[in-house]
Amino acid sequence: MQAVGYSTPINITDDSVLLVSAGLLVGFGTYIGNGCTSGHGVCGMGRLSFRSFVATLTFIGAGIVTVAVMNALGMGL
Amino acid sequence: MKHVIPFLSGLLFGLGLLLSGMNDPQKVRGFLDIFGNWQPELIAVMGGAVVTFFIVFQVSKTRARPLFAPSFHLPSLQAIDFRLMSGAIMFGAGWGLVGLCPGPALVDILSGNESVLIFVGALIAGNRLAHYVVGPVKSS
Repeated sequence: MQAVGYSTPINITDDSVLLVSAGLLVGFGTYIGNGCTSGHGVCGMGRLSFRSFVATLTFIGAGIVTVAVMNALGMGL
Repeated sequence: MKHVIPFLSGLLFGLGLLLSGMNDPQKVRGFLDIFGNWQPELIAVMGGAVVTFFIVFQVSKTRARPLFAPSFHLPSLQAIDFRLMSGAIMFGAGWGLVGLCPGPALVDILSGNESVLIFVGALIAGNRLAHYVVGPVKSS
């Protein structure tokens, strides 16, 4: 279904276990961590908040490690 | 104006995510894949957004109140605590697994892509789960 006239590609896994785990982690993590890429990454760092710098470096680091581990296990998308 | 401004802000934000390609999970995973086939383009998106926000924020600081609201609302939390760190680690892990964070996931809903809808369902469930298991969001 194409709901808009212009779209950029969406390349995403169709593994539902991966999708549900990732969704739960992102929903849970952003709630208790008070922010995501937008809240801490853009707005927090843009306000020069030290707390947001730490949070942003931490979630980017965790993302890098996750992708590296998945690649090592042959789980690349 | 109370409803028009948030709508226009969201529209601009979503368009930015779409045009920059931040809504494509594979591109985001490529950005996180620094030890493999690293695709660093999204640094420009994030960096550009931070610089733009910084400038606009400096302008807003010169004003006593927003144009269409009685007062500014700024985060007051400063502590680097266990709650922040565990949340950031969980978010980063989920972000790396699929390549979607909340903003782009919401933007991608209209594509009707089944994987995106499953992810967003779990995203909302995770958010509510945290609320009831760990406790209401900390604000001060």
